[in-house]
This record gives sequence, C-alpha cells and structure tokens, in this order.
Amino acid sequence: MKPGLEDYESRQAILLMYLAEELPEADRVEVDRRIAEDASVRIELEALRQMQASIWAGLGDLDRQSRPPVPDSVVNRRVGRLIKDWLKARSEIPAPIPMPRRQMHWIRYGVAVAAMLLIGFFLWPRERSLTEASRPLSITQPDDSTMADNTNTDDATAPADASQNDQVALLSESFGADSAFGDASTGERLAALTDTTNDPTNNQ
Amino acid sequence: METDLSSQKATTAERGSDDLLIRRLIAGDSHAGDELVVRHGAPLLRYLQRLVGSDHWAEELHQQTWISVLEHLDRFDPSSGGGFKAWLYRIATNKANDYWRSRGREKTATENLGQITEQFADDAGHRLENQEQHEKVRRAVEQLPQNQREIVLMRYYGNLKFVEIAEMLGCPLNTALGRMHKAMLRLKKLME
Repeated sequence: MKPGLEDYESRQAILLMYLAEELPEADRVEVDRRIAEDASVRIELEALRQMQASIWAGLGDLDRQSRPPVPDSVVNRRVGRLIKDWLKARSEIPAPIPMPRRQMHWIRYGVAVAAMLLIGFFLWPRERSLTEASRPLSITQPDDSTMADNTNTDDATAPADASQNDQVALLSESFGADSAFGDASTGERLAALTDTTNDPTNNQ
Repeated sequence: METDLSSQKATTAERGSDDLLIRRLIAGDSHAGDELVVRHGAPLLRYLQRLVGSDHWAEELHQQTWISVLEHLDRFDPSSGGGFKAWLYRIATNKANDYWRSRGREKTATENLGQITEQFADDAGHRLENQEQHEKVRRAVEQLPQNQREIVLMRYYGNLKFVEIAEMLGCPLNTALGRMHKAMLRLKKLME
C-alpha cells in the first residue's frame, strides 16, 4: 500500500517525493494546491530544487572531469567476457537426466490399499480392546446358581457368557493372570479372579 | 566490439526491458548480457567509485558484483522490488559494505588521501579552480555518512526511486527521505 501524504514525517519528505515525481496523482494534485496556496511551501520546494540541481551538477562535472577507474569500453568488454565465460560454463553442465516415468501407477494404489487393510487388520482388535478397557466395568459377585448356569453353553446364556468372557479376558489381561487360569471354564476363571481381587492379602 | 556496443547503446531505449534481456541471457543469448552491461556497467562503476572512494576497489567490486549477478541470476525474481537495476545496485552496495567491514574505514580513508594526492599530480595541467571545485565535490561526497552517501549516489547514478532505495536498504521510506534531505543539506554546505 502506498503511503498517503499524512504518512510522511516531514514536509521536506513530501517535497522530495514531489520533486522525484514519485507521488501518486491524487497526492500530487494536493501538493500542487498547497504550493499554490502557501508561499512557504513554494519557497521550500524551490530551495530543495536548487539544492538538488547544484549537487547533481557538481557530481556531473566531477564525472566529466575525472577519469572513471577504467574506460567504459574496457568495462563493457571485461564484463562481456565474464558473461560469455559464464554462458559457456552453463552450457557445459550436462542437463539433468529425467527419471523414466513409471507406467504402473495402479500398483502403487493397490499396495497402498493392501497396506491400509493390513494395518487395519492388526490394529483394529487392539484399538477395540483398548476402547473396551477404558469403559467402566461393573463386576458383581455372581452367586453359585448363576455360575452353574453360566457354565452351560446353551443359546439362551450365550450372550451373557460372551460378555463375561470379554470381561474376564480384559481383567485377566489387566492383572496379567492369563497363564494362571490356563484352560479353566469361564465360571472357574471368574470365580478365581474375583477371589484374587477380593483377597486383601493379595498384593497384586 | 566497441563499435557493436556503441551501436547497442544508441538503441538501448528502444529495446526490451531489463527483464526481457535477462530472460534472453538465461536462455543463452550473450548479446542480451552485453546490452545489460552497456546499460548499467558504467554508471555502476561510477557509483562504486564514489561510494568506496577508491578506483582500484571500485573496479574490483564492480567485477565481483557482476560475478555475483551471474551466479544468482537463476534465482532473480523480476517482480520483486525495483527490478534488475535495483537488484544490481543492492548487490553492489552489499559488496561495498563488505569492503568497508573487511578493510575498516580509517585504513581506506588514508588510502583515499594517497589517491587524491596522485590525482592532483596527474591532473596538473588542468585549470586549478576547476580542480579545486571538483575536489571539493569529491571530498564532500566522501565526508557524508555512508548511509546518506548510498542514497545520494543511488539516486544520481542508479536513478532509482526512493521507494526502491528504501526497500533495497531495508529501511522505511521516511528514513530514506530523511537521510536524503540531510545529505543534501550537508553537501550544499560542504560544496560552498
């Protein structure tokens, strides 16, 4: 964003920009108006203009009267040679060999899908067990009759049995007691587990 | 070669912009490079001469500047700042700053004094009053603080806009204008 007149810190700054013809048209018109209305602005502008002109004239005279470090033609020749050497060096650098494009893009997609499936296959059960482990468990002491019923594997008790199996498995895993239960039935495992958890002398 | 370059100089204004020349140069056209040098080489050398106050170092830095330009030409973005010219002067100014840092202001001033004495001896046939006046201007420029001198010389030799100079020097526009104004007042006083 270009600064407006109000953004300049001094009147000299505005007038320098005016002299350099770098002000936007609207600002230039505004400065013209101020110059026309205010004599002090007009005087300051003229002083700046004269000062700049004398400095530029002084520098111009100095350049005309003093020799440049090397004649212009020598400068042009030297730098021209530099450029030619640079171009030559550039042309000698072998162009990078483009890598052959692989045609079998579908293989990448297939491999990616297979990898995702494999990852899902191994991670999903683990994720599921973690989710279930984070769910609050309500363990109630089952009475003997229920225990007896639960040892049956008829259809009516199957869902409850499955749920208990899950809980046992999770609790066993939590307490690291899997190996201790061996191949005991669900009821026996739950009973053993509740005995273990309820035993105040048990340190685990 | 010189004739070719002179004829190129005559038609510089009619030819394409610096950006077009750079595109041609990158594409391998050495004439485009020659034309860029004709446009900017001599004023840049004068700029460096006045900036560092040493003919030898001006020539050296001029060479270094062009080498740097060529090395980084592929990364030059014409849309940024004031285009090629502003970029060229920025590189040259950075080279001059490196020079100041590496050699130290005092050492260079001593060297300049020696050169000025040589210059006096060389130009013994010239009219004394002219020489005195030129010497006054030269000394006045050399006595400016470096940040003010850069702006005056960039304006004069590079014909760069204040906005471009401020951007190049990494300072606010008001700061650049303030330095320019101070430099003008100081030069006027020193040249009287």
